[in-house]
Amino acid sequence: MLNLSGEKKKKVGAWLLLSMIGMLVLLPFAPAVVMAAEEAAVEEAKEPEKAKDVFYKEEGEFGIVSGPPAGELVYPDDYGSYGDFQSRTIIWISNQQHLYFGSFVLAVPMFVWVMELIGILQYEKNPKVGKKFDDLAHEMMKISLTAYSVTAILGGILIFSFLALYPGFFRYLSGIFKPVMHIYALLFILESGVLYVYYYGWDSMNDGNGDWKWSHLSLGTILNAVGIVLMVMANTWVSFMMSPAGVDAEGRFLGDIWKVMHNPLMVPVVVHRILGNAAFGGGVVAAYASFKFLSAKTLEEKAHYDWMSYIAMFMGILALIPLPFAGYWLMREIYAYRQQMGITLMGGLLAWVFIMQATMIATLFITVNYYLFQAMGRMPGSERYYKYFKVLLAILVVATIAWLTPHTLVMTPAELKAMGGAQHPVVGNYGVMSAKNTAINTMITTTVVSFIIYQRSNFKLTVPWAWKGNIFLAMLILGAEVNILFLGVYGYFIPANVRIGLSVPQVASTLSVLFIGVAVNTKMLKGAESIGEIRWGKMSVRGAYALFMLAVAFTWTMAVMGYLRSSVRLHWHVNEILRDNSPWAFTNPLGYAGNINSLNVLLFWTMLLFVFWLSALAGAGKKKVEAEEAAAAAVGKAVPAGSH
Amino acid sequence: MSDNKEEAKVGLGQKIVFGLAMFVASGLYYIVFLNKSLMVLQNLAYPY
Amino acid sequence: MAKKKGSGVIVVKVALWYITILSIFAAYTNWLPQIRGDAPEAAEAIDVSAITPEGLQEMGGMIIFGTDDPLGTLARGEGPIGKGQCPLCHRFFMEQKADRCPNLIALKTEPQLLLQVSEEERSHERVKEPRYEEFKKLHADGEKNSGHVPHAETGGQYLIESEYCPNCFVVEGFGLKGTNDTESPMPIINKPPILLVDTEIVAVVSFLQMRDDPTKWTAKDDWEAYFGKDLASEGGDEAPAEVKPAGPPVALGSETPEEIVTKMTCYACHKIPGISVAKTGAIGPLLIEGTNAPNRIKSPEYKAAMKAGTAHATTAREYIIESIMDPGAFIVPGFADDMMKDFKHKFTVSGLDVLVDHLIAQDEAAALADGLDRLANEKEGPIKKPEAKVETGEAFAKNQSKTNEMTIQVSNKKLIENSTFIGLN
Repeated sequence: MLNLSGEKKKKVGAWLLLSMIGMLVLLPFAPAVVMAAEEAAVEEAKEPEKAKDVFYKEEGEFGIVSGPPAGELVYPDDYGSYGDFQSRTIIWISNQQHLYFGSFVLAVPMFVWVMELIGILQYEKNPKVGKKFDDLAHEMMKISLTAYSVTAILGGILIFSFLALYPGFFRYLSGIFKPVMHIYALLFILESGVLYVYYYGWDSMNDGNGDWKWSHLSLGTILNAVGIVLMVMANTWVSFMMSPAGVDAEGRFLGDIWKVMHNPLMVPVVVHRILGNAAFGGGVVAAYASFKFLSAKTLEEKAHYDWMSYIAMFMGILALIPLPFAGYWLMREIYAYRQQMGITLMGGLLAWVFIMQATMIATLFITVNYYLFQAMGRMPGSERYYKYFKVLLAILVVATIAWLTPHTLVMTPAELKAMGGAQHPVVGNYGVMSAKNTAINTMITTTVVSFIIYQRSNFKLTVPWAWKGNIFLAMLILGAEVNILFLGVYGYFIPANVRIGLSVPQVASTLSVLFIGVAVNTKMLKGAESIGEIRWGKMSVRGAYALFMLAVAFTWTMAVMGYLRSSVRLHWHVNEILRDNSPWAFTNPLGYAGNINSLNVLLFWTMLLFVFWLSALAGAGKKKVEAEEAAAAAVGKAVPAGSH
Repeated sequence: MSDNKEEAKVGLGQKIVFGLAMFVASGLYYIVFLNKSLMVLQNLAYPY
Repeated sequence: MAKKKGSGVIVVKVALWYITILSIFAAYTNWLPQIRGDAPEAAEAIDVSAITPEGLQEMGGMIIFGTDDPLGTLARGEGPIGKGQCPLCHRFFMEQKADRCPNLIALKTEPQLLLQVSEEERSHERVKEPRYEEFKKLHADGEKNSGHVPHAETGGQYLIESEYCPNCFVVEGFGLKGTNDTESPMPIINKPPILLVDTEIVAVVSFLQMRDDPTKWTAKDDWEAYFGKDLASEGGDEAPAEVKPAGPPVALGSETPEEIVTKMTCYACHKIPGISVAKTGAIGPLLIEGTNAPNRIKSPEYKAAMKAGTAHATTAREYIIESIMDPGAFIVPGFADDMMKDFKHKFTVSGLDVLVDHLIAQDEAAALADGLDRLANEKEGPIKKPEAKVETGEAFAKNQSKTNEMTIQVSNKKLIENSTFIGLN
C-alpha cells in the first residue's frame, strides 16, 4: 500500500470512483458504434434507394431507404383485444402509471441534488443547518429508491401491454428505434448502479463539505444527467408519434436515427416535461411531508416535516412559474408544424380540455394562496396582515370566475334567439383569450403579493428607506396590474393573430412583480427586527390538507394534459404515417378522460402511500434500534444521519 | 404598512411626491419599456 | 399531541380527501360538453355519373361540416367540423369564429354583412391577380410539396388547385409567418392527414360554387380541365354498381337524349329536334338552343334579370343548365313561369351533360329538317321565313366574350377582400 495521508487517500479514492463511472457512461454507446459499422457495410453492398423525408425538406432532402414502410394495420390481425374493452384504456393506464413513477424518480433526484448542494454550502456557515438540508435530501432519496423498482415493474407492464394489444404498431416503432431502445436499456443499468452507490454511499461518503461529499454530489449530477437522457430518449418516441421525421411519406426509415429523434416537437416537449416533472416532484414530496406531519408524534418531528413540506412546495412552485412559457413555446411549435393540429387543440375538438386545464391551474393558485395564509399561523406577528387576506381572496375569486366563463354557452334555440347568438352580449366578452390571460396573470400577481406578505410577516423593517420601499412595491404591483388589465382590454380591439402576442407583455408584467418585487422585499428584510422565530410545526392541519390538494391538482393536471397531447394525433398511431385501424381510433370525450384520469391519480397515490408506508416502516425499525442503543449507552450523542 | 419607527419622521407630502414619482416610473417601465420593446421584438407593432 | 390517532386513521382521512377531490374533478369534466372525435370513415367510392350536382353539394357540406345542420351545431356551442376539417381555419358563417385563413362565407344574399361577393365570384378574380402570375413563375418547376405547377384558368380550377396545392397561390396576409405569403399553412388536402379523394374534393368545390347560386356549378368540368383527364370514380378494385337512387326517376349519363327526354317528360311541353317523342309540345319554347341560348343571354330582358340577380349565365351552356336547374331564373318573353322546378333533383351530372350536349347542337336548320317551328307566342317569329337570319358561329363567339368581359368588370367593383372584412369585424 502506498503511504498516503488520509486527506490524499480520500482525494484519490474520489477520483478513482468518478473515473470508473465515467467509463460506465460510455458503455451505452457501444451499440451505436456497432450500428454505424453495420450501416457502412450495407451501404457498400448495393445501390441504395432514396426517398424524401416527410419533415426535413430543405437540408438533405433525400435519405437512403433503410426500413420497411409503415403499411396499413388490419384489425384484428395487428391488434390484440380483450373483447369489446377499449385496449387503449389499458395502454392509457399502464402508460400513465409508468409516467407518474418515472417522473417521480426523475424529479426527486433533482430536488435531492439541490438540497444536498445547499447543505454543503451551508455547512461552512452553520453545520447544523447544513446537516438539516443534507438529512432532508437523504430522506427524499430513500423514498425515491422504493419508487424506482416500482417504475421498472410498471415499465415492464407497459411493454407487455403494447406487445399484447398493439403488436403491429409496436413492431413498426421498435423497428425504427431499435438502437435507441438498446441504449435506453443499457443506460437503465447505469442509472441503477449510480443510484445504489449514491444512496448507500450517503453516510460513508459524508464528510461535511470535504472531497468525499463533493464526489457524492458529483454522483448525484451523473444520476440526474443519466435520468434526463433516459427521459429524453423515451420522449423522442412519443414526439415521433406526434410529429414524425426521418422517414418518408410511407413511413420508411431513411437511415439517420438522429433525424428521427430530433423531430419537430421533440425539444419543446422535452423542456415542458422536465419543468413539469420538477413541479410534480415538489408536489409529491410536499404531500409526503404533509402526511408525515399529520402522523408525527412529537413536536420535533412535526417541525421537521412542516419545514420539509414548505421547502418542497416552494421548489414545486418555482418550477411551475416558467411552465406556461414552455407551454406557449410548445404551442407555437405545434402551430408551426401543423396549423390544423394547433387549432384542433385550441379551437377545435380538444378546446374544452383547456378549460379544464384553466380550472386546474386556478385550483393550484388558490391552493397555494390558502396554504400561505395557513402557514402564517406559524409566524409570530402575522396577525397584522390578516385583514389583507379577504381582499386577496376576493381578487382571486373574481379572476377565477372570469377565467371559467365559457366562450360560448350550451342552450336551447329559444334562449339562443333571446340572447342573439351563442355568445352572451356581456358575459361572452369575458370568455375570450384576452380575459383569460388577464385572469391568470392577476392570479399569479396576487400569489406573489401573498408571498411578499408571508416573507415579512414575522419581521419588523428597520432599513431607513423602508417607506420608500413600500411605496415602490405598491406602485410596482399597481402598475403591473393596471398594465395587465389594459392589455386585456386592448386585446378586444385587435385581430386574434395580433392578440396572441399581447400575452407576452402581460406575463412579463407578472414576472416583473415576481422578480423585482421579491428581490426588493428581500433587500428590505435585511437586518429586520424579528418579532419571533418561525414556529415550525405550528401550521394548522388545514394547511397540510391544502398541500395534499396541491399535489393532487398537480398530478391531475399532468394526466389531463397527457390526454390532450396524446389525443391530438386523432386517429393516427404515428401522425400521418401509421393509421389507427382499431375500433378505438376515435377520441374519447372529456368526461371519459376525466374518469380515467381520476382513476389513474387515485391508483398512483394509493401506490405512493404504500411506498411512503414502506419507507416509514424501515425508518421505524431503524429508529427503534437507535433508541435502544442510545438508552444502553446512556450518552447524548449526535443523531446519525438519515434517522428522521 | 405602518410598522416602521422611521416612518413617523417622513411627512405625508414627501410620501405623496415620492409615490407620484414611482407611479410615473412604473408607468414608463410597463408601457414604454415592457410593452413597446416586446411588441417590437415580436414584430407585432402593427398600426392598429 | 395526536398520540391517540394512529397513522392508520390519517391514511384513511387523507384517502377520503383524495377521493373527494378526484370525484369533483371527474364530475366537472363530465359536466362540460362532451364531444367524441370519431375517426373519419374511409373515402367513399362515388360514381360521379350517378349523383346529382345537388348531391355533390350535399356531400361537400358533409365533408366540410360533418353534419347537415352546421348552424344548429354552432348554436349548441360546438364546432361543426367534418373530415375535411375546413372550419378549423376557414369561416363559413357569421356565427363562426375562424380567421386564420380566408373566409369562405359566400352569402351574397346578406348585403348588410358587407359580403357582396361570394367565394365562387372571388375565385375567378384570384387567377387574374398579378400575384397569380408571380406564383406561376415561382413554381414553374413544380411546387415542392405537391409537384403541381399553378395553371388554373377559371375560378373553379383555382378552387380545385388550392386543395391539391395550397402553396400554388397564397392569399395576401394569410401565408405562414416569415415566408412573405409564399407558403400556405393549409395542408395538402389529398394527402394525410385530411386525405380526401378526387371526387370528395370535387364535392367540396361543388359546395362552394353552389352554396350561393346553384347554377354556378362547374366543379366537375373544372377538375377535368385542370387535370386534363376524366374524373373517374374511385371504387378501388370493385367498381361500384350503378346506383339506382330511390325516389323519382333520375336522368343518368348512360342514357340517350331520347331516353332522358322521355323519362323527364320534356316532350309534354317542348318540341325538340332529333327527339322522336318531342314533336308536339306547345306550352314551352322550341328547344333549338344552338340558336336560342346565345341570343337570349344578349337580350335586354335577360340583362334585366341579371341585374335583378335572378339570372347568372354568361355562356350558352350555362344558360341551358340554368334553365333546367332553375327555370324561374329567366322566363322567355311570351311565356309563363310554368316549368317544373324539381329537375335539379332529377339529373345526375353526366345525365345533364348528355341532355345539354344534345340541346346545344340543335339550331334552326335542325328544326327545319325535322319539320318543327316556333310557337306563335315566341317573339322571334317562325323560322320558315325567306330572310331568316341565322347567326354564324363567329358572331356567336364574339358576343360571348363581350358578355364575359362585362360581368368581370361588374364583379371587380364589388370585390371585397377578407382583410377589409376582418378589419370591420
